[in-house]
Amino acid sequence: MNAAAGIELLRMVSRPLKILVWFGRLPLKVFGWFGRLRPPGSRTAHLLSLLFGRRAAERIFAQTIADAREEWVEAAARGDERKQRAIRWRTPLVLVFAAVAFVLAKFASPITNALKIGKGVGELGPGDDDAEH
Amino acid sequence: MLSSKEFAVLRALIDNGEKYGLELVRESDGVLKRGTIYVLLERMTDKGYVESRQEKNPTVSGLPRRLYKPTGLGERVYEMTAQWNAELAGGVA
Repeated sequence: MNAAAGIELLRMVSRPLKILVWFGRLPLKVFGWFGRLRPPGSRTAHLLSLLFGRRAAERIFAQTIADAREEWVEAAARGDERKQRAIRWRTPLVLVFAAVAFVLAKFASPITNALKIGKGVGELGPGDDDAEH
Repeated sequence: MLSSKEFAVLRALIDNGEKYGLELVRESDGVLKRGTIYVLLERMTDKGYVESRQEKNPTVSGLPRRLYKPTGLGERVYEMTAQWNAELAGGVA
């Protein structure tokens, strides 16, 4: 193989190689964005407040964010970058868990209680909060 | 009757006074989880077992904390549940 053929071959494979490398690095870029060293923000909490209301946002999601920030600041004070990244990763998951728990508590509990005591959901009164009481 | 998590929350609040969610999670030895603690506290507030107030000065987090403490009803329900559990344990033993 002469030099010209070698250069031509390199040209042929370089473009697909560049594309492959770019796509290969894409997950790293995304992971890096999630794992960057910044205290967990409250944008997600604002979004959740639109979905679940202001009371839930203030009492559940903002408090969860405050917990994450406090732990992040403590980790930063110790110089524990690994813990800081872990908190950054964990916080969206914790918020999702909180949202699922909120939905279950809001909707599933009245339905199961109504089934237990044989009443329609609309017929439940304040004393019917827990069927086992 | 209180659930095991509600019992753990009331025990911590009765023993140690006003607390916020993260403190309760840290002291529970894995019984209480970060993702569900505030939903649980909200549910207990609706039931009248605990009450809360917002902290005046935000702490390191930059967000105002909500501190929880047991109500009289919460303390009575806790005592009854503890007594019930003790009687059950005594009956089994």
